[in-house]
Amino acid sequence: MRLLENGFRKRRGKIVRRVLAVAAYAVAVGTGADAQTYNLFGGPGLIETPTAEAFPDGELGATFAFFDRTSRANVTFQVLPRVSATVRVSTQPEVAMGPRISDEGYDVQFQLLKEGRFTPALALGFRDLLGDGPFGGEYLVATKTVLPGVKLSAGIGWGNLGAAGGFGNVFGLNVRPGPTALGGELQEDTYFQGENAFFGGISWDTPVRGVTLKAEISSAEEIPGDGNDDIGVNFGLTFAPSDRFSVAAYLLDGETFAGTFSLSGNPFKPIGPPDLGTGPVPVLKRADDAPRSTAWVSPENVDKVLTGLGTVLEPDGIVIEAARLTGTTAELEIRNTRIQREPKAIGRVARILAVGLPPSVETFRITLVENGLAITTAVIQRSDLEAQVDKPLAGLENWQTTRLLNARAGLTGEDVWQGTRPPRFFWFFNPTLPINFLDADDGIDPDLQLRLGAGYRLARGLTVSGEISRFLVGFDQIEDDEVPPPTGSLPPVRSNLDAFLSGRDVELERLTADFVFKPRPDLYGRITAGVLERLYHGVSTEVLWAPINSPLSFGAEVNYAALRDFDSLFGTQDFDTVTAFGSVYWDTGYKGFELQLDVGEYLAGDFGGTLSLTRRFNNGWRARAFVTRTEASFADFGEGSFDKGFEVTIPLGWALPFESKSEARLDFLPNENDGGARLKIAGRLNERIRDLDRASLRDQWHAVWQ
Amino acid sequence: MRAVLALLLGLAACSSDSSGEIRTALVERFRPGQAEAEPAAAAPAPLTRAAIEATGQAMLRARLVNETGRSVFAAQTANRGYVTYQSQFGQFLTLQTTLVTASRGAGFDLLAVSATPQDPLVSPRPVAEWPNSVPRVYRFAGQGPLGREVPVICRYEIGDVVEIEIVERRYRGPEVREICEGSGVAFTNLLFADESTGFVWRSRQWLGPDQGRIDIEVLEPFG
Repeated sequence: MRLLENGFRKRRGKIVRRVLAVAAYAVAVGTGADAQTYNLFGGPGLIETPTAEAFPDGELGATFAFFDRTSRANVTFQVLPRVSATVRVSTQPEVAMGPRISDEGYDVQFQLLKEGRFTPALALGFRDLLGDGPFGGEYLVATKTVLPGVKLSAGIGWGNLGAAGGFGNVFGLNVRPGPTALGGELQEDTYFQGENAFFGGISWDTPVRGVTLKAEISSAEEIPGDGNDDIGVNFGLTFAPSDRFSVAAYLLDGETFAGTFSLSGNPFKPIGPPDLGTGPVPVLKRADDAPRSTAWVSPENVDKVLTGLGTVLEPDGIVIEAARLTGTTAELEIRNTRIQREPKAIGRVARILAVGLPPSVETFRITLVENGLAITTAVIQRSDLEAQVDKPLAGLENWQTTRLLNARAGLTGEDVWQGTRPPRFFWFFNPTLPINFLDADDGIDPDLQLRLGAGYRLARGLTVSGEISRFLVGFDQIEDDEVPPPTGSLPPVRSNLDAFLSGRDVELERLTADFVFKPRPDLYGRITAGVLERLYHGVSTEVLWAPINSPLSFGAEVNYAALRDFDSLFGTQDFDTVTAFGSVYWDTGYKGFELQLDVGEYLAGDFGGTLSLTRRFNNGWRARAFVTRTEASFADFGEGSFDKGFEVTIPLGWALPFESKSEARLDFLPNENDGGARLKIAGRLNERIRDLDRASLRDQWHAVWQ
Repeated sequence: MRAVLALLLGLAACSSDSSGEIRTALVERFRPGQAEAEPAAAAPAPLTRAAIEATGQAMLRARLVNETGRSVFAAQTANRGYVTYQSQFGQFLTLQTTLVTASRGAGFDLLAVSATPQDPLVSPRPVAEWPNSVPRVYRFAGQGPLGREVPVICRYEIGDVVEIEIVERRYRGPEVREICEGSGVAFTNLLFADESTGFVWRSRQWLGPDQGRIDIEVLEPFG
């Protein structure tokens, strides 16, 4: 018996390894076929069943589905051309006619083959990959276009997708064990086990614009455990008036109506034309016999030239903070307030310098300054610029000849021309949409919170600023004596968040003094003190070593934090702690992916690490997923087993027909649990500099000529 | 579109650096002239040949195919055969002889175009001597220093000889359809080539999948 069990284990291990191998293949290969519609689980598919299609690369879609007593909210991201991932919260009866419960799920689909002329697309997928929930299932599905607009799909499913019309497991693993790992963890001992079943269907893009008809045979069990294991026959209609919005109506099993609506956006398809407005100044090569004398250099002439340059750059939102002009070199520290792609700002400055400076000036050193921190210097030779302008490969050639350096802390000396420093007083207003996706009680819980902030710059790098907030929509406020006790032995460092959101209409989110500095060109420092976040006072210190020409950078952070009082603005409770982290940041160089690993001691004293994977698109979109594992036990952590989350940052320039550096961030928040909880500090160093590191500039360098 | 933008504007994060610009630009974009009350400008005088020649500059007249207004572009710079023209609205077109190789400020920038010396829009010659096909690479905003490359092959279909007028000058020659395909795109440029020299005096050229085509008349050639 033991031998037999071991045999099964080995076999399961082989299957899982092979599955992971083909999944890795899907990650590595190129583009896939584009899907048009979402199914009820938010993935590419028909009605309940999946198809082997993929959405366009980078596509972000939200699907809301309603039927019977079930509602689902799904957010799907096409991580790579052939890999999509879905985060879902669903609320449905636990058993037929039983009370409704909420459940979260994480799905992933790998397109193994794209559709060929004679061959179908093929995809492997997992539903509820990390969960112990009722919809867990695996599938292999093929899709082929058989006539213009007509696609056929057929597949085999396990788990929930093998529940209706099931037959003996094709691998001989007929018993699917219950969840073998805690909720939130991989259930690798259950995948592809138990009965399997066939499913399939057809979709037809009708001649009526935006209308797609669908029919399918579904092997999925709509309400797990309801005893109904009949094969489902479903019909439906999807109407997509645009490629960003669609609605659908379905008839499930001839008796249940279902409806969905979907919203989607794609970083590569901006809503507004991104390049409206004036073009850059044309560059003309200096005449070969142009006088190169530096006799023109005098304080008066330098002031006149730089004042003129500042005036010309102003319409593009570029401000010269300081400059030094010699007979052969122009050094400028600039603040780009409006242009979303930094190379475009660099290029516009270089063009203006090439047009406006006397012929003797050959070297341009353009330093980008963000919030008082000089970050990166681009060194451009004027003769290179003149030789490259208008050429077909000018973007590449300019990238190859431009030197990027870690900027010095600032220009110093008596010959430095002082330009326009940023206004001392500043303010900002920021609506946020925090969406608590993993609320076990309420399911999806969208809120709308308004944040208003203001600050005062005391000196370069030294700022005092604060933020207040108010919820306009959502959030059930509770009294502090209603806060549930912590589930485990960890101190309540984050689980008592709800109590901090009660009592006042307007909350003080943050009030800090921040000092950022550069001891040397590639080393950054930050000290932040005051009300660090909604729950903590304290002091935060950080250093970051970020050589510009290295894909790796390293940081360290030490914080002292004291728990704020529930009711009084500046009071504290009887809890304080010291947290410390070491961080590694790695630009993988692959499709804009960056990895970040933070290791250290979290607020509750638990030791562990957070791994973040961010995909940065060249137009400013960012999608970040992260997981945190610490020594906190499941009992200490509670639902979900460990902290995980997903967030998307969308530059508003993507949606507006003019340049803007403003952004909107959608947070799909993780559990507010005590394990793996970290201080939420605004303006960590990597956030301040990452748009100006070599990788980000390289990805956007085509814009240097725009 | 306007409703979407208004909604986004309402939700837009704004700051002391940007909010005024956002509102002004949006108002200016969709309600031209209403951002700041300014007196209406007098209607422009009709373009004449004498006025063109008086400038002494190479000039184009161009119109995006899906728009009605035409703009005059005057040559500003010439670098190794690439001539950049500017309109009074700050939009730019760069042409290699008569091939549009870049556009700026029109909505979706065409970053650059690579063409061979055999390309008849680059090296004019009588239509009978045009090659069967030519390769080109169009470049748009994308990942990396080169952006997104779209290589295509263009072939020609010679049509009837017609006569056209461009600001008091008449030209005679065949209409040519330039059919380009490759990299998942297909488009057709329309060219009017001079009967004797093959110089393309008027053309409708592709600026990209999002921008569409631009209708260009050469009012006064460069050089």
